[in-house]
Amino acid sequence: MWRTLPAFLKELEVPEVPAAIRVIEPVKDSSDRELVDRFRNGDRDAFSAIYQTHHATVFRFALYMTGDRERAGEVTQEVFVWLVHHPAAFDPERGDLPAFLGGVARQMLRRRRREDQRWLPLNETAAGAAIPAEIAGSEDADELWKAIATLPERYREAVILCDMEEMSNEQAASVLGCAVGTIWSRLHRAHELLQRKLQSKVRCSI
Amino acid sequence: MNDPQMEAARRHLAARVAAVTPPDGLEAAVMAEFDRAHRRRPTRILAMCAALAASLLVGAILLRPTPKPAAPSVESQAFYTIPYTAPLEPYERVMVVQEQVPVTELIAAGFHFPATDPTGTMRADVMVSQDGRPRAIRPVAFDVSDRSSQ
Repeated sequence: MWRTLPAFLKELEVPEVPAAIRVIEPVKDSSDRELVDRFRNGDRDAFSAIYQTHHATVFRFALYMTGDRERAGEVTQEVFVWLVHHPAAFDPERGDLPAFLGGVARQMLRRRRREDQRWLPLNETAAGAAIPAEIAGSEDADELWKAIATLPERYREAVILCDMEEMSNEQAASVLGCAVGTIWSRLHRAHELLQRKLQSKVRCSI
Repeated sequence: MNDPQMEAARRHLAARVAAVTPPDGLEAAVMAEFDRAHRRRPTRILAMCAALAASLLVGAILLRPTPKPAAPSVESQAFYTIPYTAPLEPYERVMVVQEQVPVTELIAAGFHFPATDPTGTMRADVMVSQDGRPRAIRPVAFDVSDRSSQ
């Protein structure tokens, strides 16, 4: 009655090691360290360089999570303003700067969502499922966006970081503040859900 | 995302998202906050320095060595035992009173006093024992004043 794990995976048509789940050794970016050190000493150019280097990553993560360019911009601003006032919060020994900023962005997003849920009617909380006009393009990409947007948050975060942003599992774990194995399992489950959602869409369209 | 169709959709979606630019003025707002935060810093440092200086000053005032009052020179003078009286026991309580002592009484008590005017008086601390008798004397003022002048 009990199926073995490989048989189970085969049945799900999920490869044993999904291509998207790559284990890459985290690279300690010495230039980031240097920039952060200078920024802590009040160097404006260093802070500007940090912003230039990393704001796009933060913005994209926020855009995936909110589905709204303006709100993603606000979250990005909040992240870097927070960094201005907490220059000592980043510890290079615990991870790289993009992962750290991603973690801050995640906290900002969670706080915003809590505040929004206080005021929005229940049926409007899944507004992120609507694809923004700036992103709408091919049908497949739109369907994928919608499928990702309707994933439970913990799976959506894993898919966005690892699949869309191509972060390593270690980096994603650092952003989400969980174990690498948790990222593995969340990705696995997220891929299952995505396949199911997309297949059901195809069936409906047929 | 092993399906080639899904992989293509993923790439396409990632490219579309990467092409979206943040709203205008984002960088300016962030850098303005940086400038604001660092403009405040000198004021904060000055305030901290002022507070530190004030606390050091208060500490210096509180902890400065208090000058001891100069001991009167008379205290360095020893009491002279009045001749022919019993010596004081260590446990015996005494009282010191300051008074004008006639020079004649000092001479009568057995002191050799080279006063030119035997009618004068001398201001002195007199040590009185428990039984009310004078036991020792310490001159306070060496000037011998005339009784008639007081």
